[in-house]
Amino acid sequence: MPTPTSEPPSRTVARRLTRRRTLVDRTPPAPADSSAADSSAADFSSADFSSAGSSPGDQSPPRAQPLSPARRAWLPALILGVCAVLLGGLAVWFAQQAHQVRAAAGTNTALTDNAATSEANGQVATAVNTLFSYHYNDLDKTQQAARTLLTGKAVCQYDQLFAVVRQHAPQQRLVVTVTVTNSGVEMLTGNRARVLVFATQSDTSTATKQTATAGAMFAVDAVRRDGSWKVENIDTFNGESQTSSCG
Amino acid sequence: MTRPRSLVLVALVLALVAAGAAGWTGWSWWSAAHDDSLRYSQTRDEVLRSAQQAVQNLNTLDYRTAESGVDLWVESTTGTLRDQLTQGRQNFLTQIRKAKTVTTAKILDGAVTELDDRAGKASVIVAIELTVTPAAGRPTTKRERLAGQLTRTGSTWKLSSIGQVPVSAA
Repeated sequence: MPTPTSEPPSRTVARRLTRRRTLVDRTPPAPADSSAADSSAADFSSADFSSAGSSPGDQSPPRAQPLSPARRAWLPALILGVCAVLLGGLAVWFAQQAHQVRAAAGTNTALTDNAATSEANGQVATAVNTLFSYHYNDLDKTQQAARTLLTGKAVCQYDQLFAVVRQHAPQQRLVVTVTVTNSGVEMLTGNRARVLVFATQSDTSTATKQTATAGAMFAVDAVRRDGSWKVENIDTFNGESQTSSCG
Repeated sequence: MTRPRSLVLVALVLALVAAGAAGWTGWSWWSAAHDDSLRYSQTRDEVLRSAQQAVQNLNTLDYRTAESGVDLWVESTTGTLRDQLTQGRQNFLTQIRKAKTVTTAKILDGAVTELDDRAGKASVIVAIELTVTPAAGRPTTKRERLAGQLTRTGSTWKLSSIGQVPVSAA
């Protein structure tokens, strides 16, 4: 009678044990496997070392020749240093060549920058037409228009010229029309330009009903302000003496 | 062992920096050499120089050295202008020897107005001052407004036409 009562607990203990065992047994294999893999990896490496004929702790066939480890250690530094010097020299040479090419071309973008060139050319030509065309009856109109087209030294140059015009134009009843026939931008750097201008000046005296035409040549130094080109200097190729009073 | 190793590192960094610099400047040179607008810009300057030199040559003549003077005219030109000058050579020589004048030119200014790099054609305007000294009498100066065309012949630019800009009632 005691057996039926004693058996079940022992079985349950046995079951628990087996369960524990299985639980315990299942956990160890994983570390055991990994350690086995580690050791096999270590075995391979150690096997390599042993096949090379030295123990893993001692990595020195160099020890037989005492000078070469130092040399081998310095060699990469030396090679890299030489490379650095050579590449540095190359960089300097390239830079000089690039500079030479760019310096030879200069900073003048006349014609190379098509849009800016034709803008400067067109605006200077229009300015010249406006500045030097006048009607004896309405000189103020020309002079007022001139204010927006001139800057710097040209303001003074123009005032001197227009003082003469104011003296003579009403007497002779002059109507002057200036038309730019040829112009070329010789220099254009950023907001500065120099334009060579050929113009035809046609003077009509309504007093005598006579018209005289003459050709003019001059160069205009212009600066770009607020998006539009303004005449800064008019060079009539007479040297500095002519315009010295305008500083 | 740490000293050489850190030195390798320093050398490596230096080499990399130098390589980077060489790459950058090399690219800079290459791009400058192959930059169309830079090349175009150089051509423009060359055209203007050639034009001014040619105009100077064509407006310089000394009756005492007329022959070499006219030779220089021919050398400075190409195309129909050159043909005209070659054909008229004898005529010019007789005229200048008779007139006994010395003509010199001073370039006042000049500009390239058009440049077709590919076609090898360019247009220029040049302002000059001529001084004509006759055998007897005072030298006279006059200014001329010239417009001309240049054509590339081989590696040089030569005048293919030149003339005064007319004073027209526009």
